[in-house]
Order: sequence, then structure tokens, then C-alpha cells
Amino acid sequence: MNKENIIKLLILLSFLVLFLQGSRFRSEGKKVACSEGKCDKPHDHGQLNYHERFKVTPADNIGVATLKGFENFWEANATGMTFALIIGGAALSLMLSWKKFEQVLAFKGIKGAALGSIFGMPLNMCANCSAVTSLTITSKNGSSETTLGIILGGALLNIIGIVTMFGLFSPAVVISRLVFSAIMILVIVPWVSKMVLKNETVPLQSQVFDKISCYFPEKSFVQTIIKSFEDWLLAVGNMAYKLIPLMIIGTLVIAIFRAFFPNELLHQITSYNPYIIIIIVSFFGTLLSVPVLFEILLGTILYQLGFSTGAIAAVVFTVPSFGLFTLVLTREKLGGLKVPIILTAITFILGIGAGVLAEILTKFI
Amino acid sequence: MKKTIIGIILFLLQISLAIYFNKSIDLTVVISIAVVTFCLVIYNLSNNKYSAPGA
Repeated sequence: MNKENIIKLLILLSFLVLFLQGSRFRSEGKKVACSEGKCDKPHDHGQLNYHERFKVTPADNIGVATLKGFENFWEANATGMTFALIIGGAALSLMLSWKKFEQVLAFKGIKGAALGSIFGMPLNMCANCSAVTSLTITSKNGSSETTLGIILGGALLNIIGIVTMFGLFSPAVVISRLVFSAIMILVIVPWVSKMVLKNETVPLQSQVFDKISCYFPEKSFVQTIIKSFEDWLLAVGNMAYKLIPLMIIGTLVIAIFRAFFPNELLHQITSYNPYIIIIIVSFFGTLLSVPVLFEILLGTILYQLGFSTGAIAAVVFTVPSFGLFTLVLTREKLGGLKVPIILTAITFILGIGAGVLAEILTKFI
Repeated sequence: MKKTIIGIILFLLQISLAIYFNKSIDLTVVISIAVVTFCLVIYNLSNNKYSAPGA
């Protein structure tokens, strides 16, 4: 490993630590406190985040509700999505000059999916932000398995979220989430990745990347640091050009969905059969996209409304998992809409499975 | 390269927006590094440092 790669690795780790310490752990701490009912500003809770600049009211028409929802969603994800580009760019810059890292990201099958999920775990990001990171990291030669593994590892294997859920919900909910997360990552991801034909995948790489990978051993330590930051910014710029328009489209799709299906609809189904509720909640959860750990607050809302354990398990599995935003973002990498749509449908089905498993486990635990 | 420069400008706009929303120190640190590096990239670009060798 040459000094350029060591510096790039340190830049990557520094950005991750800066993100986790500077904003993510603090924000997660607030969300955990809110989920436990210890929030100091409960009146500020919106539908998507803990603060929403524009409150969507029933009086708003679809257009106004969509615009408000778009701004609220973009604001809720602003820090996460920005750091996704920053961290993703640093990892991509490292990958372009460190061939061994590139080889690891190209692993296929269960190995690729599992490794990807391990890379995704420390990101502490929702599926939306980890999708941006993942697509940036794997834009050159990364496999579909690693791309999806990072997205789902970041969203479903968040340690803080899992520990918080143990304190709030029945163990059946947590067991069900862990079991179905493992199925999603280790079984479904390798299976759907086989459907991604290599010639259908559009590589996101560009000629600018050729300027990043050249190593000059004669450069001094300071020159190498400057070159590493330059490489990082070029990688970020290249990916921002491709991903920011997709992020805008993804956010718009979510905002339109939210305008037609607000949270209030859930309040109207409390008296339905528990299994019908699980199906409805899974549908909602699959198409809904929320910032990291917000699925726990949604689960708490369902708990307070008197929903069964199964409905809570379905929501905490489907909401952070693959959804509309990730569908829009991964379309190019996965060779078209077919695989993302199949993954979204499987998320819905597994959400129902998670709900049913939690209902069954509740009888024994 | 033109697309990358547009991408960097988009990224700087996005990071500015995120700082406006959340006023976070971590992003302020990153934007400082990004702006200085962007000036360096523009300087190198104006000196044709990114042209292909022999072109």
C-alpha cells in the first residue's frame, strides 16, 4: 500500500468520523429520545422528520402538498445525502488508486452481498443516503451484490437502531427484522443480482477517473496530500453530476406518493384484521422513504395507536429497506427498471413475512 | 471535465444548502476543504494540467 493510498484511506476514515461525531450520533440520540417519549419538542414532529419547515395540511391541494413534501424530504436528508457524496467520493478515489479494494468491491454472490453490508453498517445512513454512497463507491467495477449489500447493510443493520428497538418493542419485532434482513441481504440480493446482465449495466465511470489513478512516487508527502484531496473532489464532482439529478427525481417521486398517501390513512385501518393490516402497512412501508431511524418512531406511533406486533415488525422492516427513492437511483446500475422493481416487490412480500413471523413469535415469547 | 466541474458546483450548492438547513460544524469543515481544493482544480484546469498527454 503506497503513501497515496494510506492518505486516501485516512481521508475516508476522517470524513466518516466527522460525519458520525459531528451530526449523525447527535441526531440519532435525539431520535432515540423521541422514540422513548422523552422529546423536548414533541410539537415539532412532522410526518417525515422531527422538524418540518412546511406542514402539509389536508387543505393543501396535491401540487402544494407535493412541493411541501419535496422540500421537507430534501431538508430531512440534506446532511446524510451530502455526506453520502463526500464519503462515497473519498472511497471511490481510494478505490481508483488501490486495486485490492477495487477487487473486493467486485466480489459476487453471497460474499459480495455480505461484504457490502459490512461496509454499509458503519455508515449509519438510511437506504436513500447509503444508495448515494454505494453507487459512488461501486461506480467503476463494483458488483451489483456489493452495491445492494451496502445499501441494505446501511439501512437494516444499523446497530443503534437495533439496540433501540430491543428497548421499545417486543423481542419478536427485533428477531423478525434481523431474520428478514439476513434473508434480504444473503439470499435475495445474490439472487436478483444474477438477473443483472453485464451488457445491460451502464457504467457510471468517466474519463476523469483516469486522472485519479496515476501514482507519482516522486511526489513529496504534502504534494501527495494535495493530490489526494484533488482526486477526492474530482470523484465527488463526477458523481454529483450524475446522482444529484436522480436524487431530485427520487425525492419528487416520494413527495408525490406522500401527497396521495399521508400518514393519516394509517389511523383509519386500526380496526381491520391484523393480517390485512400487515399487508397494508407493508405496502405503505415499501413505498415510503424516511431518514435513518425514523422507522422506529413510525413503529412507536403504530404501537400507541394499538396496532399488533406484526404491523410494527412490517413497518420497521419495509420502511428503511428498498423503496421508491432507491428504485430511481439504482435503475442505471442494475441495468434498467426490472431488477429494482423486483426488489421493491420482494421488500413488500418480505415485509408481510416479517409481520407474520412477529405475530407467530409473540405467542411464544 | 466540464461535467465534473458542473458536478462540483452542484455539490457545493448542495453542501451550502445542508449548512443553511442544519448549521452543522462538520459540513462547514468539509466545505472549507472543498472550496480551497476547487480553486486548485480551476487553477490546474486553466494551466491545462488535465489535458491528455500528447494532446
